[in-house]
Amino acid sequence: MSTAVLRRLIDLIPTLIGVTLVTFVLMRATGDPASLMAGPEATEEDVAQIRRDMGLDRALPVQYGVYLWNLVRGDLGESITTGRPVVREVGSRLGASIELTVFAMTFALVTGLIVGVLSAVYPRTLLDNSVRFFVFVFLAMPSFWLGLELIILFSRTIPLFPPAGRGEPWTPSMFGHATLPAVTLGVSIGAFLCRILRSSMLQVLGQDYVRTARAKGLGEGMVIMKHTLKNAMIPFVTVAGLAIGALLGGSVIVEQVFNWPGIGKLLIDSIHERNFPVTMGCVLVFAVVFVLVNLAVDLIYTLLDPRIRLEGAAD
Amino acid sequence: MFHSARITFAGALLATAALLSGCIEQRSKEELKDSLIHGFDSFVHTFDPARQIYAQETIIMSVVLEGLARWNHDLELEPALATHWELSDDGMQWRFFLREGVTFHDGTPFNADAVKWHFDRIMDPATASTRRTQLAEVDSVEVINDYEVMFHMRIPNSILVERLASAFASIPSPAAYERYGSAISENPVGTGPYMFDEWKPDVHIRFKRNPDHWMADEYHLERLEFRPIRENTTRLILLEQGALDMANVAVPHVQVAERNPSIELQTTPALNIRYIGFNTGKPPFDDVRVRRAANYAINKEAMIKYSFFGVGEAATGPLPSILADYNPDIYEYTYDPDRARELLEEAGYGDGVTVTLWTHESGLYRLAADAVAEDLRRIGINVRVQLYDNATFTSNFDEYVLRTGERFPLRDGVYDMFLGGWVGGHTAHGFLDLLFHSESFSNKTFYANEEVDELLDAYKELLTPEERRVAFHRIQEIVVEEAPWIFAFHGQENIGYNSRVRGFRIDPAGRLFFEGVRVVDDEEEE
Repeated sequence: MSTAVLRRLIDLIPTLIGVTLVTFVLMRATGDPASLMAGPEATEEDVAQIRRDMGLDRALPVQYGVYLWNLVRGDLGESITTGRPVVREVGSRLGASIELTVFAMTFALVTGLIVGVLSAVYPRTLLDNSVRFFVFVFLAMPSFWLGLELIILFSRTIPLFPPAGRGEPWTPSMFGHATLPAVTLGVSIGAFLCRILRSSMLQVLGQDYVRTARAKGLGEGMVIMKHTLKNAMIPFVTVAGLAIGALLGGSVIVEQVFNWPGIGKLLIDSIHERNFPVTMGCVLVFAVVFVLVNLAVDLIYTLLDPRIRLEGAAD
Repeated sequence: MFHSARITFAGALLATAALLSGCIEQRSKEELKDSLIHGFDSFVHTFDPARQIYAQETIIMSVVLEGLARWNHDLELEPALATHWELSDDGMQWRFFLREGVTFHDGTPFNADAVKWHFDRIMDPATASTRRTQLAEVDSVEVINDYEVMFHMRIPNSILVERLASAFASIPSPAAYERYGSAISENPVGTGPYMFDEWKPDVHIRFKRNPDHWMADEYHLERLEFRPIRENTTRLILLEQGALDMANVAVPHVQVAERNPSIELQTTPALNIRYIGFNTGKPPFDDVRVRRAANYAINKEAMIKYSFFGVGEAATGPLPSILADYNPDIYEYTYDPDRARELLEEAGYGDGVTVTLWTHESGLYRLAADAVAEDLRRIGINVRVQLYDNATFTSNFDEYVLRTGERFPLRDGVYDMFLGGWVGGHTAHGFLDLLFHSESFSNKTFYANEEVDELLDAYKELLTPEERRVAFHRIQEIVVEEAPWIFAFHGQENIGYNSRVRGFRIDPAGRLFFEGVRVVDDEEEE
């Protein structure tokens, strides 16, 4: 098992190199920040000086090579605009992003699970039909729009939640601040999970062994929880895992709307300013998280279904 | 059993709602007392005056750091760390007399050595200061004695003091620089009315009152906090709810804020200009008649009303009318599509012509570009709008206008028109010098006029404001006549604040002055 995990971790390396390469090329294709940094009054020499200082005057492959070499040594460079190490810039926002992701994921999992199960247990009832309706509505809703609507409704009209910022960690204000952004971010994933769980539950509920379980007199709760749900969870977990990627992508927009001081906001700001090192740093973090989460999902499979083994596992 | 589960569920739901509803930001009495929180909409990266990029940085910097002179609300120069100054008759020496008994926040004295150190640092190419060219005419800075400094110029320069009133010329403590090095950018130590307290990037920047400031009696707020909130709607709601005391109100929200009884709104014409620049080096806009036709074709009032929510003032020329050197007698292009069509016909474009317009993505600019395209279409100029993100928009010009002075108005892919904006500050030369000199990098229109160049080369040597005014008036006259731009409109500064805030006065340059500003608590009010 541990060999398999190790191997997956090694697989991470080419993925990350690919990610840095693509980001690097895309960023450089649209100009460099030297002119922006120098301001309108600077002379050609000033701009050239800034380019030299930032190493932007060297050939692209060389620049990329230098970047990779520094990366290997754990040096992500310095932010062009603040001069602070990128590790510090990204690190200081990581907590906020993790917090938002955890809240959003929790919201998505809990609603997806509860509503999905209810919907499958009472199919084609009023409950199920309205669930299916809302699932489509929430899936179709763009998050920036939903975010603003939630702010207007639950912050302005009914002042229940603060519209922006992050609360002090581990205080009630943390939950208050996180509620609207987490709901905004999590709702479409919750809706999707609910759909997935409903259909896989329905499939499992039609299986012979469920009928057998019922026939031998098991309570309905036991049948649902123990025999159906666990077996219906595999697609749910897969989608939930992939959804972390969607959450990261979504956080870029949601953090902007809710002024959440996380990596998504940092990423957008850095792109606007052509702040290459910071953009690269943010994208790298996203990539690492995404790959690690996928690995975690694969591990969870083996727990849910003992028939599944990780490739290369020794046992 | 099912019944009790339902009750439990409902109870849990209620409890959660109750818990969460306690989460809305309530500032305690202690937090509210003598403190003010301002929400703004821009980037802040550095408090190092030598490296500053964004206007918002200078606004916040100005509470911690001070310069030798400063601009007041009425756009007049007034003493700050210098009590007075003298310019030699030949315009070659500026002598500044420094305020005595001033100390930096770290306790070290403010004196002539500190002044020299700061300006030497900006002029040193190794600093790579973004504002080095502001001091291009300064040869050296000499310490005469502890409280007198002399700036020696390379060529006569009568406007140095105006430049020294800008944010880049605010003087940080040399001792602090020694201590922090380049990290001075996040640990500002100056002489200002407020001392730096804490900076959490993307969250807040906090300051506390400096009891030893030379004007300490005028500053009543004990704590100041600035919060970057880029999303306009969010910022407005925070202001409505009292989580912010003061905030920049975005253009689309000015009318909303005006109608809101819980918000006081102050507005003032701003020191900027929005314009549509022509490529004057390429047909059809190399013909002044076509440029004038376009000026007659634009309905500026409608553009302000429909694209900019009625916020702004139609421009007549390049300068905002609140500037002292604004020329009130310049020709004004009024909306006259018939006259526009005549001119176009005269220039040989009676059958219509197609041009490109570059603009960037900001929502309002996009609306403005559409308005321009629509107005021009009516007189027979078909406009293809090309939209870019901000950074791409800016860097796209680099291929055609080089900093070396080379210009390529006919190169492939060049623009015919572009939407421009400029924040020129307190002086006429802040607009005219950089935008209309044929060799200026910021002149993207390829506009070149010998007389304008001569006047711009010579104004710094004119020793009195009156003489300079004559030159600036003449430049405005020529530029309006030759119309390298459509002079569109001037924006507006909009600051909203709640009823706790008393004594605030808005500034046309967008800076925030906290002199005389108080906050009252609700009970005091009753």
